[in-house]
Amino acid sequence: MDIIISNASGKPIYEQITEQIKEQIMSGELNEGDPLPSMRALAQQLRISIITTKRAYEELERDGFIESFTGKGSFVAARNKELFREENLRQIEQSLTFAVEKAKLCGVSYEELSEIIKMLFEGDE
Amino acid sequence: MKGMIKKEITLSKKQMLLTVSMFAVFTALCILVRLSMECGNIADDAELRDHLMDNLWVLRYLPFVVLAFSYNPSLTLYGDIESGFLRLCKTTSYSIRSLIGTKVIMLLIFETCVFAVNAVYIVILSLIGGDEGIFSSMAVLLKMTLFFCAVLLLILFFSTVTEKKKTFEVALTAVVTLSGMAFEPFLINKMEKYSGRTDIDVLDLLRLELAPALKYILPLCVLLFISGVLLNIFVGARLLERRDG
Amino acid sequence: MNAIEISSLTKSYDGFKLDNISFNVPQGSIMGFIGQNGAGKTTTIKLLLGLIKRDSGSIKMLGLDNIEHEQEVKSQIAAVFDDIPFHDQLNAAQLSTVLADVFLQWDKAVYSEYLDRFNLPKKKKIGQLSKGMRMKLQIAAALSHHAKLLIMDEATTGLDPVVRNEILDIFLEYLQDDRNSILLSSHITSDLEKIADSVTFIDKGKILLTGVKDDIVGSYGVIKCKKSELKDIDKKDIISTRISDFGAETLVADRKLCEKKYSGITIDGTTLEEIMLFYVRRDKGEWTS
Repeated sequence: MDIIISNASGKPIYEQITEQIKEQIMSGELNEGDPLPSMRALAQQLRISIITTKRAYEELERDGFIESFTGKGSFVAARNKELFREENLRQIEQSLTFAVEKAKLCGVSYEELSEIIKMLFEGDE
Repeated sequence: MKGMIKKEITLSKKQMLLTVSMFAVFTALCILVRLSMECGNIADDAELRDHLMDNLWVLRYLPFVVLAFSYNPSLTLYGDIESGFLRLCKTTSYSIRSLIGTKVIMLLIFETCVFAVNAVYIVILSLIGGDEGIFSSMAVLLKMTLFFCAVLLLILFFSTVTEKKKTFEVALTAVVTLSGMAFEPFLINKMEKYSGRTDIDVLDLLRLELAPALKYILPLCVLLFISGVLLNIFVGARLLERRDG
Repeated sequence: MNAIEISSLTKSYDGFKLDNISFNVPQGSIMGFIGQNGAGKTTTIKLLLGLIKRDSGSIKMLGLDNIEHEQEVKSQIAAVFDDIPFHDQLNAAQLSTVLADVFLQWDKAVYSEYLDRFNLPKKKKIGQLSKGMRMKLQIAAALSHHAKLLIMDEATTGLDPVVRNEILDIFLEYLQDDRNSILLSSHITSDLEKIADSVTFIDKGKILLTGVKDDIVGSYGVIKCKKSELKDIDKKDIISTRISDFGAETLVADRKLCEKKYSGITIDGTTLEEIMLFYVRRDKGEWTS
């Protein structure tokens, strides 16, 4: 399992871990039932605090992506289409937030922004 | 205990090598002299031969005097303090009392070995000739061994009183110098009695003067020895423990 | 359970006082104990190790009072000092026989493995080893008697980055067993920025901050603004401000709150080092570096 941490990205490390694992699960790189490294082992490999990895795993479990069993470890949870859709929507919303804020700052109106989005959608067809 | 004793030996290696070499040299010299007395230069000179035979008794205790100070627990204690090893021991369940106890035991073992080596010497010399019997020589040797052990133990105790090697060395030098200075008038006083007599030399003088006191020496040595052991194990160890690490 | 529980600990010396300090080190974690030289780190550690006596307060290590159960506590901890406590005349192999007497649970095989791993020569006298090798030797010894708690006083100071990293990796490995814990005191915060689970800041004998490192670093922030804008910031939020020719940087404890309160201003994330820098000068208010 590859996880890349960027110190410069400004995003909290546990968030970077959660996002990358979520992506790998959704893309099928990680399958249902695959074991994840223990929190301690992951912390050691990435050379970060155990608390950080613990937080990441807790969030993944809360969001339904993984399941943890005491004594056994953490495993990828059953593929849940609903869950994935929610996650993808969340990511899209995150990206759009950036665009919307920028638009407001430059005085671009909602209509103009919708036009751009429509163009982008249809552009590839 | 094995490891700690090995440590004491390793730390004293330099000193031991030096004294053992000196001992080897002395032994070689003695053998040479003895050979000369039989079939060499001195064989023909009867007067010198007799003179040497009379003073042969010094040789009986020579190994002891050379080897006795090879192991000095005070030095190893300062090694323990300065390296930080003592401080490390304080953070573990290993007691400082055991640390001191090991040094005391090592000292006893070592001096016993030196006693044994010297005992062999005495036996050999008695077989060759010389005017003293084996048993009286052994008795003297025993007293000397006890005395030296006591001295080293007391020195060890004084080194637990101060952690600073410099302070200790200054104090020790002062004690030795002052004792020497006090001893001198005493000695001169005694010697006056014998001024004018050419038939006795310094060694005879010491023997004559010390003779009356001899019966006190053994109990004194035993007392000093026991005090030395007890002071170190009960007071010295405590002092070391108490001091801020 | 906490590996270390310090409560209202006080110790006075001539001219220095460790004043009523309290903090805990959770089991299975590594705590960075940060402070300048002379802040009280070494005094605290000496009190933990039983090298000096406390005036008041309590210390519990691995659940036991460190004075009442002195022998039991000491048999489960390992101390690492910034100058190694071994005789120069011994070599690594001889050291093993000595330490076998000192530590109840000395494990010769484990020690040997560490020596191989660190590429430490077994027959060379300790006095002839470089500083980095000596420190690795000390750590090898500390890890070879099944200690559950490692207490280290400036163990990585004075070492080159390559050796420091090797040592930090060893610590992370040690922590894979969740019964083990580490307290590492340092004034080099870069070592702790990444791997520390929790941190405690000490300054002039008092605890400034203690808590989960991610929480602390995450909640603090540095406001960057013009000197003229400084007056708009509420004094209560400010820890201290660094003034330069080009502007002002202000450390604030609650970044999220300040982002809302002072909309539009620039607030950056911060590091343990910056937090320490700004805190240490909190009495001055405004300062220049």
